[in-house]
Amino acid sequence: MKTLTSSIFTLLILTLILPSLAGADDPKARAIMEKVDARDDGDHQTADMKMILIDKNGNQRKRGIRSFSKDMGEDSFRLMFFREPADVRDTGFLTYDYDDPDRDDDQWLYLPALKKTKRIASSDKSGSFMGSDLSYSDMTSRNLDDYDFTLKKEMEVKGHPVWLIESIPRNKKVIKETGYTKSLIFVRQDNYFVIRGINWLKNGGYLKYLDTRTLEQIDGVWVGTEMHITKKKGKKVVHKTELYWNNVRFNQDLADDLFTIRRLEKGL
Amino acid sequence: MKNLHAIIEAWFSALTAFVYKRKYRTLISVILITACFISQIPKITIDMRDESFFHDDDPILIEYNQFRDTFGQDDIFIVGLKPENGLTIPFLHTLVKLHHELESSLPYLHDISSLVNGRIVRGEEDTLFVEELMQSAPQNATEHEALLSLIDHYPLYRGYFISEDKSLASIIIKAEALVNPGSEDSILEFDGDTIETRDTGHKYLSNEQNIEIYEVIRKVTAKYENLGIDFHFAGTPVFVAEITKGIEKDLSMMMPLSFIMIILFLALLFRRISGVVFSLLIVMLSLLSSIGIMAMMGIPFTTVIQILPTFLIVVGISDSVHILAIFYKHFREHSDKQSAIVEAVGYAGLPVLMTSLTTALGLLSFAFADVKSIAQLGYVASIGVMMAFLYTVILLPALISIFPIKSKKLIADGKQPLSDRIFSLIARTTTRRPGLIIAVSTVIVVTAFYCALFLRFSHNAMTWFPEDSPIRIASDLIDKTNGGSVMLEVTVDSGSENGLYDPDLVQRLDQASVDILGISVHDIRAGQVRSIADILKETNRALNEDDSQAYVVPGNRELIAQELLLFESSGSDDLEDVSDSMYQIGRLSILAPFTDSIHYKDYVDKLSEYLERQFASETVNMTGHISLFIQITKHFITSMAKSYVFALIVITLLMLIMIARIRVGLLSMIANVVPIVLIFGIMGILKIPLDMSTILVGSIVLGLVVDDTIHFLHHFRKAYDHTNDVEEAVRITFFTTGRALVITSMVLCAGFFIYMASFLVANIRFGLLVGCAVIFALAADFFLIPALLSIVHKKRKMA
Repeated sequence: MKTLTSSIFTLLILTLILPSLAGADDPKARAIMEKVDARDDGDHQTADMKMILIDKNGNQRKRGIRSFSKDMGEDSFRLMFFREPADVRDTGFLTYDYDDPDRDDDQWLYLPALKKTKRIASSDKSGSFMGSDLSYSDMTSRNLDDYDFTLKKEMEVKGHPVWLIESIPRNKKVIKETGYTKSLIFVRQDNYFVIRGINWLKNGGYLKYLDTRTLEQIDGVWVGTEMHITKKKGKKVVHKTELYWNNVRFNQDLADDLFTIRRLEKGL
Repeated sequence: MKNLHAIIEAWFSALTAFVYKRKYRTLISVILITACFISQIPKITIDMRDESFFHDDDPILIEYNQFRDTFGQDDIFIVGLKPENGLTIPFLHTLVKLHHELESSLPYLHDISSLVNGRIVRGEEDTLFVEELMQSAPQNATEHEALLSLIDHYPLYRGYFISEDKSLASIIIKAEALVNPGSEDSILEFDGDTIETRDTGHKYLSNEQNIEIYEVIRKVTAKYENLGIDFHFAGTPVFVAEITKGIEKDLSMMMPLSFIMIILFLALLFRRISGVVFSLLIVMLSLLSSIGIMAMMGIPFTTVIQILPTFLIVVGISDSVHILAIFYKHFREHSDKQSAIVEAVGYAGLPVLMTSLTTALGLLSFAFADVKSIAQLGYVASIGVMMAFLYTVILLPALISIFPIKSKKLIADGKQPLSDRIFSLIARTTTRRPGLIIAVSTVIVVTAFYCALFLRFSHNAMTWFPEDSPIRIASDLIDKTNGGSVMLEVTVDSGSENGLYDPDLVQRLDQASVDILGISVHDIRAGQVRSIADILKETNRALNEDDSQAYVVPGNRELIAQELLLFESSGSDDLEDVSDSMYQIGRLSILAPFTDSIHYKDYVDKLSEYLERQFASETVNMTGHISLFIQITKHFITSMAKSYVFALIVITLLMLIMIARIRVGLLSMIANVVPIVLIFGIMGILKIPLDMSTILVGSIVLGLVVDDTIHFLHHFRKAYDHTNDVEEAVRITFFTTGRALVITSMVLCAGFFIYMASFLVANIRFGLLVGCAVIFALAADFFLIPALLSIVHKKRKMA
């Protein structure tokens, strides 16, 4: 009898302690992340994006981008044109973000000064998105199978209850691709929107804070229309990007041939 | 004045009597106070970085820090790999493995680069590849050949990742400039959640952290030995780590050795346990207290302050020996401890105080130095000198009171001891033949002065290492095969945002990296120059189907802007190294050989002249380690000039007050300056340059000589007042103070000459020079001063 109680007790302790020790997957956290993944993020979207790049001395640079995006089955396509600064006007990016984790995304760049389109070959998504603090991996959705999730705690952010979930990449390939060794994700409990994130960068000991400052419901879809991305070292801000989305429209009935190289080369 | 002397002497006697009676209370108080200071010692830090030479408000340091804030650390650890069979497939495998192992194990790593992750920007049909040279090492001959031709395709690798003759491959490691204290508590805090604080607690990479990196580098590379690869470690951070190790090694070897020598000589000369133990105790306590005070003041151990222990040993020994010598003499004669020590402190207390004051003031002159670590030495050492004085006059009587001392009677065999006969002989010769002594001295001084003319300034800390030390071999090798290991950084400010989109400016930057390689002064020639132009040329070539004709800076503004945007988006962060984030300031990184900073100045002057022409409408600034070196050199020359002049004036004034006779005071200054001239003469003969380590010898010499002179003159005057005869007064002075001077000089000589067994050349020279200085100082007081005195007094008598 005594042995039975003690073994049950041991088992109980083990079940309580082990997950936190091993950082193994937590079904509750995964369930939340699945809902995040399934959240309707709209389709056939057009928007104007304003990007303000701020360096550690407070110097600012502005970039204006017109963006079109469309889901093609599980893949998503995106076309973007620079509007400002003048020196890069009409420089365009076309990206095909494939759902298949084994397939590298396609990316083309059109340089009007050279009148040439180049495909950019890179399996590495940790690079900067147009000079901002966002990386390509921040722009694309996570493949949930690549990570272990743990629910760390429930808390409030600006009056909204959130789940704080830790995500750890399951293998080195994912770390190399995203450039992150660990992330903390703040998921709003009412709409499964990731309103904040903290990412640990593989190189240089930096932390990257993603903060959705303004969340709006547009055509029934939750959209973060103001976002601050801050790259920090300890408490020191190394670089910061502010993103503002204007004129966000969904269901704009964007034709498939909008997302082609020919269209890319025509400019806005 | 005589009255004042008498008052002070009475006061010293009274103090000694007071302490003698309250021996236990005194001892306990001294122990408690000392314990307070000693408890601070664990806080002491070491700082051998070049930044430690600069005051916080030095414009050169501020500029350097601003540069580091924008671009990161300028200096690099270079791990040179010299494979015995060249770039074979197995070697490349090792290189890849080592690179990755270093990357994953190094702390405070900002960037590691080598052939492994060399940047490749290439075009293939309509696709642009931005990738690393070796995702993995080549597996077969075809891949191997392809790789070797790729290496040739990228001119930036040469002289950096791979030497021109391909005999040496390098891994370049950059540490973070700013290290984050790493508090996990506030990690969940976003901007706007709380008020931002300006002070983020960030610090520039410290000496310890630098060493930590270096040790990991050595530990990791050690695993790759015995693979037919010679490893060489160079670059300024490696130098800093090695000099720290060297200094620690010497301190831990030489300090105990020096103490042993001192114990031996004290024992030999005093033949009394008390003489050894008391002197040593006083020296140890004042040394430990001073280091405690240093820790309290937040002053780190630096290449300059490392002379402090030696210096305080000198001062402390001399203080206690002077009092003990007189004490033993009285004690032998009267067998009464109390009256003997009261008498001794009363008699020698004033000169000990005066010598302490002159030394402390001489050292305090360093406080005005433009070199921060010399200024810090000024504070600490002058405090230390006064501590030694206090320990001597307070602790010594208490110790004598507490512990029994055997009274040894002189064996009276009617014959004078040998030393006394020698003293008498010297007294007779110098006072009767002063002209001869002065003539001989003049010849010696003139010769020394002539030799001193060959003295040159220098600051090349690399020569502080022995010639066969690995760091020197590695530096020479890498400087020779790669063209450099030290950074000079040039920033070109276009004055406006996106100024670097201007094709004319970028082309001029590109031209500059060619022209700069052609500039050579004193055999200094840059091995490599990197700028934003290189990235644009590579990108442009890749966008034009890898046509080598297109390896040029694009001719129009939009194309530059768009190519940079393309590069920014390619996943590489290399742009951070060549431009600020506003594309306003371009950076030219120049890699040059490690050499004498005196030569750097001429090189940089010529370079600067060129840059002003090349970038007439932009603002050019220079910083980086070479710039620091040049400023250090300038600073230590001005520091030396200032403090020598100040010390000379202050000491002369004090001598005049002390001696109270202008003519004798001024004459004695001659005797004080002569040993310094002799030391400079020796440096001239032995081709020892005036550098950061030898520059301080002069002040120590001055302190020593002045001390000897003060003791001598003080006792001479007393004796002369009694006898009114120069020869007799000199003889009496020799018998008392002279004996003490000989003892201290022998002890100190032994203590310093032992430094010639050091590892670092700087310490060998230091030991040699200070040891010689001790002898010269003694000689000046034994020969020159009596001769000068007899001339002065003869004239007076005649008048």
